[in-house]
Amino acid sequence: MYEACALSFSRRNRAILDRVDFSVAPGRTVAIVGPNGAGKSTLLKLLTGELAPSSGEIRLDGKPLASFAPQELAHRRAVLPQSASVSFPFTVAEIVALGAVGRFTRAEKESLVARALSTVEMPQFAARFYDELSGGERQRVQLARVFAQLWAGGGNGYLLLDEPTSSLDLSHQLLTLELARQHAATGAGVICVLHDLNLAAMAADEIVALKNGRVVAAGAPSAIVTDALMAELYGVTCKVGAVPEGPFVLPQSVQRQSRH
Amino acid sequence: MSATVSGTLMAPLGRGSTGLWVCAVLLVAAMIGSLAIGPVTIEPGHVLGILYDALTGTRPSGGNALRDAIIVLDIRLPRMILGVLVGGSLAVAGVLLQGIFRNPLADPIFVGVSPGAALAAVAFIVLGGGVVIGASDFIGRFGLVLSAFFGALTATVVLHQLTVHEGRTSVAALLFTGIALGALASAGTGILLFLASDQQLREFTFWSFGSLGGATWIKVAMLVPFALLSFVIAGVLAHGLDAIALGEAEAFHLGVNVERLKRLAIVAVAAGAGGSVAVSGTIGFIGLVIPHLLRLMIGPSHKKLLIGSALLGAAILVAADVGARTVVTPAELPIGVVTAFLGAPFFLWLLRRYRASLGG
Repeated sequence: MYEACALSFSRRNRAILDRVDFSVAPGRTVAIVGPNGAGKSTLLKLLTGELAPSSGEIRLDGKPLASFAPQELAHRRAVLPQSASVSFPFTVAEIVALGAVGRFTRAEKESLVARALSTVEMPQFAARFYDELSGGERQRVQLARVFAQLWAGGGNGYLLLDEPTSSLDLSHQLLTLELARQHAATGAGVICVLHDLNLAAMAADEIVALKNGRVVAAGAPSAIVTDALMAELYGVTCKVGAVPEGPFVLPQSVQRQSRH
Repeated sequence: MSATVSGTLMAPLGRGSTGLWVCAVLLVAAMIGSLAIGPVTIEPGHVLGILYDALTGTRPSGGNALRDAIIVLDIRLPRMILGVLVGGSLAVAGVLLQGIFRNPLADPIFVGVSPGAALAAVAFIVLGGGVVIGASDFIGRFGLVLSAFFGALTATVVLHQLTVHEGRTSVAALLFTGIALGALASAGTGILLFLASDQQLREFTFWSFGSLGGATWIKVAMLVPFALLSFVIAGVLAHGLDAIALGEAEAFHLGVNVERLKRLAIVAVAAGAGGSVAVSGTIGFIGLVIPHLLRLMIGPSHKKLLIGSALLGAAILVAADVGARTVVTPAELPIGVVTAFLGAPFFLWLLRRYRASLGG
């Protein structure tokens, strides 16, 4: 269980998050959505332990997050960054092998790397230089690294993703979210910051909508993605449609309102 | 399928072992060469014989044998060992600086660390009432190395405070800040040397270009603890430095205690670079060129990179010293002049390669 209770974060006297409650149970996928500046990335940084909250508490497996040593934390959760540049000419295999946190033999690392690269459909990229890949390929290599880290930690750690689909084409967006779902299906939790409401509605069991640092709605996608919420979150008028798999938003139906 | 996968993987995770052996062989060759070459040439075989006799406690009988033994053991050996320690320390300091700043163009001399150490060392000599001048006073000499260490530490900490913002630093910002810090430290050194007596003024080239001349076993003994400290810390940090190449946040996600790693790395840089400056002045480019060559040869993984840099840095500096003391005999070139001639064109080539990240 990943739980945050009355989480606040402020910087230079400006509140970025205001008493946010948030929880993810094992086996569940939760998407965090909201307009730019809503505090999505900050919430994720607090959940990873990268930032410390100004007030409130985060507990992981019942233990305060702050009491975890960095390596212990690395075995319980892995984080896919939005984009990552690498300062030296590492190969793809070397990057993915960084996920093998802990003591592993070279053979163990190599099989972990091979499995992770196959999972993201890039087995033939092992010997390529990371610098020379496209943005989308890099993103998938990072995803492979993250899976290597989760497996190295026993496989049931939480997966945290920050805009995982930003630089991917449609088929790889779907692959990424499918892999996240599969990870949740093994009984682990997934937390995902997503811009695209349709992807969020499709991939998540639960959506948490943030605006101005507060949770404005939380619940199942069909209950969250509504005409009213679209107006409240983004200031747009639109007609939310529905298919048996869940709600969807067509950009063509959207009209911007003047913001206030 | 899976066979081909692991087949392609063998190379990327295992590259570099041969390269390390090449570095080790080069170092041994440079070490023997530096004992053999000089105004009096002594055959490498004879050099090894002298070393063997010294180890087994056999005294040469006299004449040429005694003269050669004195040249090798008392003059060239301490200088060679000092070169090994300084070269290894500077290259390792370069790797650490480049690692924590995520910047392949960092070198102790360009980012102001070595000039900071030189300023502190000169201040100790000039303002310390001449405790160390001409004396073999152990405490005085130790104070010199210690103050160079604190000078380097201060410069590195200031550099870090000024350039790293939310875990990020730009390549250009680091270099420009380093230039400013270095200029400031050099100006301070200049003022102190101006205030100093004539004898001390003659040391100016030593502090600005470095030299292994005047190497003694005492200087070697002064440097050993600082060099060892930097090597041991570097070894402990190797894995974390790999993770930091992804970014500070990403390294934390991978279980690295980033703040602790940076603090330790800064201490190691100050020990290696500061200790070297105290005994040999400021010698540039070793910390820049060696790690870069090795990344091309054996890849950027820090465990091998650090070992290789210590070996190759030592080899190249010892070889450069042979050049410095033979090219214009009977005079001697400052060794920093030799390393600059070799390293500056390389640096220009690197600047072209990294022009994208410099905004050009």
